[in-house]
Amino acid sequence: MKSKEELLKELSDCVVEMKDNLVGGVAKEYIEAGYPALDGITEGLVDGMQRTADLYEQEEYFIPELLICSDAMYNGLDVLRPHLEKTESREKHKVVIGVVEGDTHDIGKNLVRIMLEAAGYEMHDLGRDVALRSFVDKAKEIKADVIAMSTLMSTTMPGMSQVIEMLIAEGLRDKVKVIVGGAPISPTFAQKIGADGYSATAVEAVKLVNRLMGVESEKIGA
Amino acid sequence: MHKDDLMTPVERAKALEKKEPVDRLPISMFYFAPGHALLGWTRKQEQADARSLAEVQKKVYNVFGCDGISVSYGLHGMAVAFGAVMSNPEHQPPAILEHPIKDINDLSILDLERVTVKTDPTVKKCYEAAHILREELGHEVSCSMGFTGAFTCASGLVGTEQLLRALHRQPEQVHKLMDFITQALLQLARPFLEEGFNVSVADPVASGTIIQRKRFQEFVVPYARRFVEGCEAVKPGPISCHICGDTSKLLEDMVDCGYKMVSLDNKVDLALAKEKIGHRVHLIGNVDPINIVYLGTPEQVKAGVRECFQKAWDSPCGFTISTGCDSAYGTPLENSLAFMSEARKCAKYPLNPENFI
Repeated sequence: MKSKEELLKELSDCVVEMKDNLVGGVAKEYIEAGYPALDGITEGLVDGMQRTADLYEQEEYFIPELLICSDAMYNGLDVLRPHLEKTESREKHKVVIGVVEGDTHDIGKNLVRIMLEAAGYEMHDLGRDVALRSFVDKAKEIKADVIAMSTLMSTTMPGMSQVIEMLIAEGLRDKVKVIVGGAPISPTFAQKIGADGYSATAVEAVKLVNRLMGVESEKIGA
Repeated sequence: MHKDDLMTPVERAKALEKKEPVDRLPISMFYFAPGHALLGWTRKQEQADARSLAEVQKKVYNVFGCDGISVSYGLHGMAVAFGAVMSNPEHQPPAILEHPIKDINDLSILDLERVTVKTDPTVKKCYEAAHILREELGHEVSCSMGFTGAFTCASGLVGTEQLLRALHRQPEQVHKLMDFITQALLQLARPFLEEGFNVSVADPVASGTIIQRKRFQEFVVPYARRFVEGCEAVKPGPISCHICGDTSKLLEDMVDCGYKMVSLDNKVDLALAKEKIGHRVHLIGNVDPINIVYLGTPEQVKAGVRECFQKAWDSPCGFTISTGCDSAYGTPLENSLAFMSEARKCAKYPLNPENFI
């Protein structure tokens, strides 16, 4: 029988090496050997996703590789999650994310959601072409810590600023951090509309949210 | 002729070809997304037929006096030819809601009969509009046809995420798709070329921000080269290519595609491009269309134009000032006019660095 460490490394490697078809089998083997699901997630799958992020930052990996590695992570999560014990989950920071109204390009938003989820955030994905009002309503409903908005289209950029104005009007602005991203967005634009942060990539988005939430590095992936 | 010029674009181009003096060097400014607004129209009105497409281009030329007008296949042209479901917003560029090919393993829908100048609705309209523009404005400025690179066409047909995953998972299907699209593009470009229209290419999805160099070399370069060589065999003449995002690491590969003019996104440093490929191709670029032209002031726009000239004016195979990508709908007119007026000043012939330092 393989040791826990061996299987954790295999889980992690499956993610980094894009073995999305093999990861489920390894996860099953890991569970059947009686090892805890939570460790399999944090020290296996999420570890793999973090190594993937490193490769992205080193420009070894690009968007196709990030997509397939995240497929592998989710395939592994599908097996391990049902085995999590209730006590193993804890309060997480909540993030509402979406592509603003008028735009349907969502690959970037999906990658940010995946990376934040891997980093231990509770993600509420509103999808694409999201009515501006929905960002505010959802944030209110779930008491979100962060609103993350994305767009690829220059024409929909002003929507981000309208969401911030709605938050101010409802007295919620100091309760929630707002971050923005997408090809036409710049740090200057983020500052101009009064957002709390901007990041150029999905990997940087994790660092940004960690900084805003005052956590060194969230490590719970379930 | 534009009031601020001494030669028409046609006269200028002819003189440059004969290496004779000109009033100024050519200027380019992408102005597709906002074009219809100059007439107080919606985008839908612009797209109605060939006549309305041509009217917008005429207006753009009259207002700015750029050195070329063009009709364009659009990023989604080929997806539309195969039945993509599209959004149809009043002013903004449309988006694909449903891609024609659900599973890249099944490419049976592809049929060259659907992508001819008679059957492809987008190209048909462009072809007619190009003729109207030649008839009515051709003595002054020439019209070119903007095609979309095969990789971007592929993303429209199967969806970007599916295409990107398939680079690893079904590479042979991607090659089949790229091969078909290249044949289709050549078939679509031929009538334009035969009648003397220039052709250009935009391939935004083949971006260095999205894929790594190895994939670009495997999936983009061979097909682009085939397209360029095929076009040149029909009508010699330089073909320009624009790729969005950061192509700093793909510059040599863009040249390997056979393009003789390379249009750079503002994410690429013109100084670096000059150093790497300036001795091989003509450079075009690259004032930031969003943070400077859309969101900045006229003074910032002018500074942006000067900065590009400072970096690339002496590029060995030549340089044309342009925006780094298409102008955004909603760009203040005064900013686009500031772009043109500063570009005219800087491009005065012969180039004098005092004009842009």
